[in-house]
Amino acid sequence: MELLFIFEWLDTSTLAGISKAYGGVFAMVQTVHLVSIALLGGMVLVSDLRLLNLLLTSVPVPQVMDTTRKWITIALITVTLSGVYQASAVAIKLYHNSSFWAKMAGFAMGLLFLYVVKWPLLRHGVDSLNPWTVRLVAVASLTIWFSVAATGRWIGFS
Amino acid sequence: MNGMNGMSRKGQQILAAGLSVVIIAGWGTYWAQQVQSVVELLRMAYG
Repeated sequence: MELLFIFEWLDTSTLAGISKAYGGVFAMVQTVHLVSIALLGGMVLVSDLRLLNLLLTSVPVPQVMDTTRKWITIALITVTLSGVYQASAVAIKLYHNSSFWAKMAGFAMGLLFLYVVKWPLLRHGVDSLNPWTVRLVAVASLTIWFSVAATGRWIGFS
Repeated sequence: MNGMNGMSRKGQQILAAGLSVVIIAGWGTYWAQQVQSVVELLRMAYG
């Protein structure tokens, strides 16, 4: 599917006009993006390491899941909004960057895994679940989000 | 999003475990190939 027209539209949008003209605003939004990534990564780590019984073992799993779910949702919203703003400044360049597409694929996979697999599975706690299923889900989740972070960093190198 | 909410608990577990294995195996295969490429390069350079 040809998606170039979306990037061409973004490149000529008012948002792109602002992001290209005001470096200070871009830097501030980039800060929000990085803090959101740190929040997302941190909450994913806390959530998955708890499922692996490596962290916060004295806190019940449902309590950790409820708290991290709230912060992950906030981080996902802010990371997406600040990401679109940043992308508008270099839209055409990003379209031709394979690391960007790897990151987007990973991000989509991470969202699907969270909303379709992980959270529905853990909604009623982990007591009735096979411990190996819980461990596999935690490792798969860490794998996906690590890949998103790594490919995101790689955009800057390519 | 309802995700797997309509499924039985056992069905949810099987799907989650299966998908997780596929993701981990795919990731492991990719990195094994990358390591293999680096080893091959080192062998060409120093072997």
